[in-house]
Amino acid sequence: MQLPSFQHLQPSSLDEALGFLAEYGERARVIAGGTELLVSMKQRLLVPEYLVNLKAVPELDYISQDDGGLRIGALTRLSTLIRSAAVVERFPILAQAAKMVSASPLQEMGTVGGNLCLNTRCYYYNQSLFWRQTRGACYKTGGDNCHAVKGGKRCFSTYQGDMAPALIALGATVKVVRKGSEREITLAELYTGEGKQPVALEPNEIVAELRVPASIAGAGGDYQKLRYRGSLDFPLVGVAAVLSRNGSGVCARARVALTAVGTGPVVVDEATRLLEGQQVNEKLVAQAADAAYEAARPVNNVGSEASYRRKMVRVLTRRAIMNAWGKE
Amino acid sequence: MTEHELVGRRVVRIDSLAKATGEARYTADLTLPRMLHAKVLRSPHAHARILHIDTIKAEKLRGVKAVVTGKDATGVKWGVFSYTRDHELLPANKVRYIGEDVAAVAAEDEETALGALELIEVEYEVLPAVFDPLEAMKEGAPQIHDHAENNVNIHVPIEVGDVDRAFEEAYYVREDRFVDTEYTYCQTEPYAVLASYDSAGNLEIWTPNASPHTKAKALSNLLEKPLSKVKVRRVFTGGAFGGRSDIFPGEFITALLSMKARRPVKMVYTREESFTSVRQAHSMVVDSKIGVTKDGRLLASEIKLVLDGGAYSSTGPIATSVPFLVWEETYRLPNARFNGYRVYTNKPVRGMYRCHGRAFHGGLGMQLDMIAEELGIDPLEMQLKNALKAGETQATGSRITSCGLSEALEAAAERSGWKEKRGKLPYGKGIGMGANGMMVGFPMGIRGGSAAIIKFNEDGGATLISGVVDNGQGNESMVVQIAADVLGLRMEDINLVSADSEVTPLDQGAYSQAATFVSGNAARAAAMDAKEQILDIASDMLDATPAQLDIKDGKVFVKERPEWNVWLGKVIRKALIDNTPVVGRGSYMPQVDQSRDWVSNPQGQHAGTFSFGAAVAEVEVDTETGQVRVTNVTGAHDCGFAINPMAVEGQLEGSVASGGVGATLLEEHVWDGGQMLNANMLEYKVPLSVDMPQIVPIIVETIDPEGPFGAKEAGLWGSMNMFQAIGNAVYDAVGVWIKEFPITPDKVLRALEEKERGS
Amino acid sequence: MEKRLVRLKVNGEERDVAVSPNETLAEVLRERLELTGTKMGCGEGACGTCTVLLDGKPVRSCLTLAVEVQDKEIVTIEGLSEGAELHPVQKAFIEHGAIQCGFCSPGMILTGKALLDENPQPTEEEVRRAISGVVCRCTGYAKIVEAILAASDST
Repeated sequence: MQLPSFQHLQPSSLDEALGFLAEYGERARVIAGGTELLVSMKQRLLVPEYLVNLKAVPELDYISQDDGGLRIGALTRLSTLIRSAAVVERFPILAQAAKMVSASPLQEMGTVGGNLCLNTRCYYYNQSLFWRQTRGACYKTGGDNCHAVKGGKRCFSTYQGDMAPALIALGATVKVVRKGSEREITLAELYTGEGKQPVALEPNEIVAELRVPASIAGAGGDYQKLRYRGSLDFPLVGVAAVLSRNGSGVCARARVALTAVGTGPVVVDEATRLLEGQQVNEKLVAQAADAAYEAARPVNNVGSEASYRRKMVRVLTRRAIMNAWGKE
Repeated sequence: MTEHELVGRRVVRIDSLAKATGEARYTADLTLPRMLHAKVLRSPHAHARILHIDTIKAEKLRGVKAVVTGKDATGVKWGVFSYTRDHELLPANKVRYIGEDVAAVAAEDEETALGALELIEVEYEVLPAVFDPLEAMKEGAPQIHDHAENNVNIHVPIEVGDVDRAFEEAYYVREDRFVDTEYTYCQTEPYAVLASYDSAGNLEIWTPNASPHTKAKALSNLLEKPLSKVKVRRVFTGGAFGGRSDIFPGEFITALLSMKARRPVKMVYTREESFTSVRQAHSMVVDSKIGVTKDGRLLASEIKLVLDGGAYSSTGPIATSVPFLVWEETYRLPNARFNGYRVYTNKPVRGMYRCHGRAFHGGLGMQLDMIAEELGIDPLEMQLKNALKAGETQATGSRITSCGLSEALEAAAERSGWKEKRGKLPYGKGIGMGANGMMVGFPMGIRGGSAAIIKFNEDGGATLISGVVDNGQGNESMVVQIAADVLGLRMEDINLVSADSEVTPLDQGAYSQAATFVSGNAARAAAMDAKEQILDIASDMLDATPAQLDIKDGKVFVKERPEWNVWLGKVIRKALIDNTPVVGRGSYMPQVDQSRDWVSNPQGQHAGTFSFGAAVAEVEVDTETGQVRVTNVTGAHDCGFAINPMAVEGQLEGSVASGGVGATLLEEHVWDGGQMLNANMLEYKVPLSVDMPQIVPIIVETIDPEGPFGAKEAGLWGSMNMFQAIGNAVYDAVGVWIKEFPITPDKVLRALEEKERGS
Repeated sequence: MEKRLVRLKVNGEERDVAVSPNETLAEVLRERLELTGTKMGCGEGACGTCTVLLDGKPVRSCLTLAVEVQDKEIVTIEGLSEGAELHPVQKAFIEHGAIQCGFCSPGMILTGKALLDENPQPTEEEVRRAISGVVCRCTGYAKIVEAILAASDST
């Protein structure tokens, strides 16, 4: 399968990269690990005129600890995250989730930023040009219907990133930059929940950095991933839970976030409400798991079966919370 | 365990080095001077008439050297059998599945070829399509082929004994339906063809294949060229599993392009095309009724099988019959009725996959367990009671010579700890068993046999010329190992020229499980013929009778006095100067009933011999998610004799992946009408290293009277027994029978929920 | 689209090739440098037959642009042996019957070598995890795992 033609730009600084994006806007795409972008280009889902290659930009690849929190450059490889002592010792859920992304060669190539900004996926979208031409455009490709959900009134493509729920559960924030300015948002705010444009970035913006607050260091965290094979596959369901315990043994902070069950990561606020300030017991965890089930809206467009996957949200949420609590 | 010099030993394969260094070149790796690149324009419709194709613009594109459509074909329809000729490999009038070939372009580079495709204008008249075989058989369904009423491609009726009376007499009867979706070979090497046509009218073809002779004959028919002008060459092949056997549009189209352009043309399929536009495995619905005696002996078996054949016949009659045949090759069936239907649908063409009907045999194997459960009999006992034995005759008349089925069952049971585990493991853990017979070398008319030639060099080295085909099983190494053993040479002293339709004698190919039994026998016969000639000549030189001589380490010697010897090279030279050069020749044709026909006469000796196997699988079921993990597989295979035990183990282990974890638990096609949703290697789930169980392979040797050194077959073990071993293990673990394959977690969970609701 | 002259370090040798930006490393290796040991099984990163080592780590060359790896050490299967001397992993694959059709072998062998370079005494679990991104349809992985473990004993 051949890539379409494009101009390749290799900025050697962040500033230079942002300059290209400012100039070319929608005509350009950034390439980090390339493990998603190049496949999409081979399928002619994306045909950018310019590729702005971020690999040679040093200011984006780092893991630093300042004041006890983590600052992770968006171009940090997943394999770097897995090996980082700072991550493993104090924010282990990140290493756990990164280890479950695809398989090790793709962890070597793929970046945190790239995984966070994964495009949403669907059986009817992630196909070759020939395949898609047999049935015409859908919402995500510029048409006005949904092939996956007959009669669907919007795009139901599924967000399947593994790192997002873990980072959201840790309370991560994101620094988004463009030429001349930057803004900081919570990671959850990076997602539109909308299938056509799932990530809230302007064409001239990139995610530059993740920040994980010091306050969450050492908290118990667990990421549960459902996939039929033991490697390589995207999640059919993913649940991240991060809990911390206060001096009197009660749950001080609880966050549960889901992936693969909506058009963006899903934050289960009800679980937070149920668990915080309480003794974590089986009954409570079951209720939180029910809340996750309620919040999940999987669609039959990424394999397995939607009603089954929804039930697994309950099972995996229970396991994630119990494990996270156990690690606290 | 062997008393032989070479056969029976764990030898290094002759092709491993080239594959380990990257020197082995597969079809897509080949280049020829002035080679063009080809791409195919495919039908976006499942069923349509082609009204008009305009290729003018494509032809004019700079860099395009040839464009072909159905008009360039001869109109000859292909069929594996004379009565299944339904496939115009490049149709002129009608397309019958999404992804079917409509036109093709050869250009200086791939990009230009793809650009040219976009300039071809095709006008279609879209026709109603049908995608479900049961729907396709109904009145009023769209008719896919003019000759096939109700879209029935093949009907195989088999009747043995008095089935209705037997059911009346049976103590217990049960009926079950098993459903299996399609699956696919997914060989790691995508499909590719290199064709080269010269001014003298010679056509050379390189393509991953399981039989160059089959490909050559088919092309010869389709192109209306004499067979001597169609030369299918040997090439490294990255796996076949049944998906490289009959003729495909790609070879035909690439040949046409090369003939038109008068230059070599290479076509490499994308992975998607490899899924949709070559072959797939059938989906099926099996309705099986079994009647048994009180002590669990099979009395009556009545089966209706409906196969989704896709748009063309391919190996239709074989596909439709083999599922039943494997059943009758395993168990004693005094009364049996089988009706197999292969039905056309507007889907890609279905061919054979590592034999046929894994879910058929799997479902029936599960039924035996269900019956054992009902009667309170240990499944092992049930298997042993019904397992065929040496000397018996199968339902449709094949006599069994060597048979280690019972041995294999006992060995697998013992080694796995069956008696301690079955019914006794904690909830969520289970153990299950499966068994199978397997035909070796079935009737293929003139194409069912093999011949081999051995010639010698003046330094005592040799070249074996054999039509044997190796798709990764180790067949090339096997014939060299056999010849070297007979001739007292080292394997490295014998070169192999193989799988070339111009040079090597006719051979059945890596098909009908016959490479060892047929090609191996032919090679052995050729080596023995050569040995006889050598000993005859040497007897003069050593003043002994040929019976007093033998060959070892490249020397012919007197057995009683080994110091009386002569170097083989010297014997060869003497033969040359005497004008009696040593040229060994041998052949083998399995002793089958050549009047047996798949459809019109399914009676008589069906195969040269039969191999047998038993599998015991242990599983762990996560009862909250329904996920099944196969933790251990103990596999016993009666291969007759293991020429290379390492190769036999490799085949067994490989089939635990494809037939076991893959086929039973993971692999399935997902369809929307006539379009496959998961025609890629991320969404079609092939087992990975972390999905595999611990495997204990056990080789059972029954020394077949006909097989070379007693060897039979070693390629298909798990394909026909892992299914039921795993399905039965799941029942032992959590008490549910899953009758819809593959056994995915959602199905297990649903079954568990239903069970709980029921109780 | 203009071609650029890039200097690639492949198997210890510097090779100058004129490439277009849209040529993947796999295509350049196979078609320009005629190193066909690196295979193209799917082109989408899902099979691992295109595996090469980039600065010692296994990557998917079908998803790597040739223009972006100029300063990297690229090792393909052809570069693994030292003249006639095979790498221990290659030897082990051959001796243990870990090669059947051979199409996944370059990817598997390189992945095995990279693992042992980083973790000389891996457990079976670690070996399976390391090769879990390369698909094999023939062997059931059993002898491949056995070969890599055997090679670890000998290095």
